[in-house]
Amino acid sequence: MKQTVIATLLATAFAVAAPSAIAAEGGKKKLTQEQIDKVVQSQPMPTGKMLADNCSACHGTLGAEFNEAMPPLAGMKKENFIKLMKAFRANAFPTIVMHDVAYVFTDTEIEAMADYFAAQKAEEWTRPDFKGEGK
Amino acid sequence: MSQITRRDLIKLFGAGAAASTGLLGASKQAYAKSSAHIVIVGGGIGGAAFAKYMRLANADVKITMIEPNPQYTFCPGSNEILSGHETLENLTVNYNTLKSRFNIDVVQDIATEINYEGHQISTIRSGQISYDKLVVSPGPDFDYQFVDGYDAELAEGDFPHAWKAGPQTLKLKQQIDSMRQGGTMVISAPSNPYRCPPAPYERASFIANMLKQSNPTAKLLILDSKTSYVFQNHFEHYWKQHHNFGQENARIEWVSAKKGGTVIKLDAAEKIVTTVGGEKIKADVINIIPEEKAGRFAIANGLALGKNWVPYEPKTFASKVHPDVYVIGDTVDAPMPKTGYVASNQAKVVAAAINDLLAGKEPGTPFITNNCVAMAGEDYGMTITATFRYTGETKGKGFLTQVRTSKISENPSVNRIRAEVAKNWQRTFRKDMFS
Amino acid sequence: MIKMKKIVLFGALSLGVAYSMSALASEHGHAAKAEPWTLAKWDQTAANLPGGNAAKGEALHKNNFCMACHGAEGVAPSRNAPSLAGNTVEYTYKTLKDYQSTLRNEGNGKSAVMITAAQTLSDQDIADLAAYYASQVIPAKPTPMTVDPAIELLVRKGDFNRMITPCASCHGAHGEGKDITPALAGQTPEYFVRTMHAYKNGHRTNDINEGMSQFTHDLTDAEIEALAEYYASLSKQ
Repeated sequence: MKQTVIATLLATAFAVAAPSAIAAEGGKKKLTQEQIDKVVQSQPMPTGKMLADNCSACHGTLGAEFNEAMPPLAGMKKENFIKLMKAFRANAFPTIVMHDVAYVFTDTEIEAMADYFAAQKAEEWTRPDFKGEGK
Repeated sequence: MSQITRRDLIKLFGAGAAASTGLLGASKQAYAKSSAHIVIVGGGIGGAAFAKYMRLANADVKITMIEPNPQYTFCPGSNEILSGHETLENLTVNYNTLKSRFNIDVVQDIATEINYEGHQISTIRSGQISYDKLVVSPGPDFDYQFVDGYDAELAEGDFPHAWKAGPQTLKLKQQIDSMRQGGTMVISAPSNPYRCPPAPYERASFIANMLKQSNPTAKLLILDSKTSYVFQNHFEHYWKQHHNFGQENARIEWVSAKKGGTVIKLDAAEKIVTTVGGEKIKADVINIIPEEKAGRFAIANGLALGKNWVPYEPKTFASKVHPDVYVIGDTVDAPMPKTGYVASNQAKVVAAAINDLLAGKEPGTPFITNNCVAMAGEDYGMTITATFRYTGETKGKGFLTQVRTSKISENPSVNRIRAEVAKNWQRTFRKDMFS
Repeated sequence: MIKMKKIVLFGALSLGVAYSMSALASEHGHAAKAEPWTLAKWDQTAANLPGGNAAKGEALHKNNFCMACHGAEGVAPSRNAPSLAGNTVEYTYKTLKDYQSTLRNEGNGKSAVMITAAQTLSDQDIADLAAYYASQVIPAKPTPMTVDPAIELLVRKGDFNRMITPCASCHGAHGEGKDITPALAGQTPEYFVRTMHAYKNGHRTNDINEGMSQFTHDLTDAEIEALAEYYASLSKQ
């Protein structure tokens, strides 16, 4: 008997309208893009997994959670992920929070996350079982 | 075969093979080096996220979590308990999935002392537990010394701070519910840093919304030890709309530290708080949110190096005291807000770093975000996104921060959808650690 | 023993009026009891449907966050959300009204975002959105799939023994939908499966006189998944 699929309808990353950029907490002066780029370029890029693990608090562990407001990312087609993240980054349309999430990522970071999620099982809820007693 | 012991198995197949047979389960005996034993002190958001993500990264290591309580109650969502929109039960989770599915040995005990040289940790009931890597995630401790006359005993009694969701939350709710008509409630908000920066104001907002219905002439006074706070524009916007904020008949008032709002004294018998400006305020319900510092366990073991918060190496969150000890969550002196979201992402960084180190690799570049939500009511949400990029610099705290907060919208659908997203997030977030 | 089923005459449905706005959920909790439709009430609603303006609908789609989940042109980018492109005016209209009234709720707060989003829309807004989605088309899939003959049979002929009428009799020969019956061609398969289970398990109850749910009770999980794949592969013709 297969797991019953929960009837969460409709979903997805809602994201924020119109963010106000604040440099650092406590209202310090605004960072320039050059300052940010310098830091980004000074270090090896975080792995796709490291970047993607930051998504899981909303999109579920391994991106596999179904939630009305946040879509599962596990198994998402690479080109869909990239297209959507770039649209979020560009603020192409109003979102609840995704523009404010996406604006920080570089093209290569977005691609690394896309690869990571595309490689995850497109299950509703991945439940690995390390004791081999899985259901 | 029934006589076979672990030792025999290790002799036969080597430790890695023995461990991966799964026959050994959650034995507390020392593991051979090749399947390292990783011990976590604290089973809150940081500890649980670490345990789960360490296991996802590595099926072979032995993972033990030392946590005094059999279950954990989430703080995110707990302000809604005060207004009756949420229950303690719904926010409470147990460790069953971590134990059964993720093969975490959860030891219900209190960790006391770290023997750094011997790589051992003392517990009250379970004796010494050896570790190869130790992760410390004890959460914050409350520092009552800043309000004369307030202490842990009063917090457990008639003056709950309710800053850890649990029985105190219910006690505070009961006090608010039974407040006389037209009564006064005081919330004393702490200075930075403390757990969940917008929470005192979110709490005030939910309470005021409830009082509007049940006790419309009651007053809520926020006495603040700060001069500003996150989402201040959102909260004031909402309070102007719903609680006459800023007017003579305001239901909710905020007194900045600049205006002498800092509470310095509690007269518990008379229910009077005194502010730094010398003003005495008598109230029916007094909710003092105490100042915070690193968890007692971290301070007692010298991890804070005499300070209030624990210094760390930003790349891996290794302690400055010992390289095999890692510190995460509210207790660490990171340039990040003290939120569960941040704690969970720090935990993922540490899990990746330890896994790299066990494999003899240099840990990768850490990346941490804090994409949080708060509510002013069931009909009003707000969002903040913060990204912390590792700078590699040894000076400073090692991260560059980019922050954005949602703008005020006059479109009610935006505010309401943000609130629904906040609730969606709470559900998913709990599952990311405990399911 | 075969259960007696209520046969709903989809072809006879027309559309019409005024689902009472007073049934709207209260601001919090979405716990309000919504009154189910009767055919007569729906007919009346359908007959008085406001004329929709697709251009205005497009603006709403973008600015009221529909696009964030349902994608540009109403073609869903993730496995979570249904595509809205190509659906019938009546189906979109009724669906949003049902969210507004909480009649469609999937249980346990799982539709809270949609309910909230719908409650901020006027009837005219809803009609505009419905007109916009009806004017959009889900792009055809590049590779047609080979259809299991048993599934083809279920779609074209139904299953008399289980009293399952052919899917195509209401949803159209190409899954194009008709009136109140939704288009299925190109629909997100995971959404299709969730929806069928929601009907089957009684979490979705906004169909008039169990017009849909009655057919789901005897479908197996495997059939539901095969149907989902079948309809996902179709293009509206």
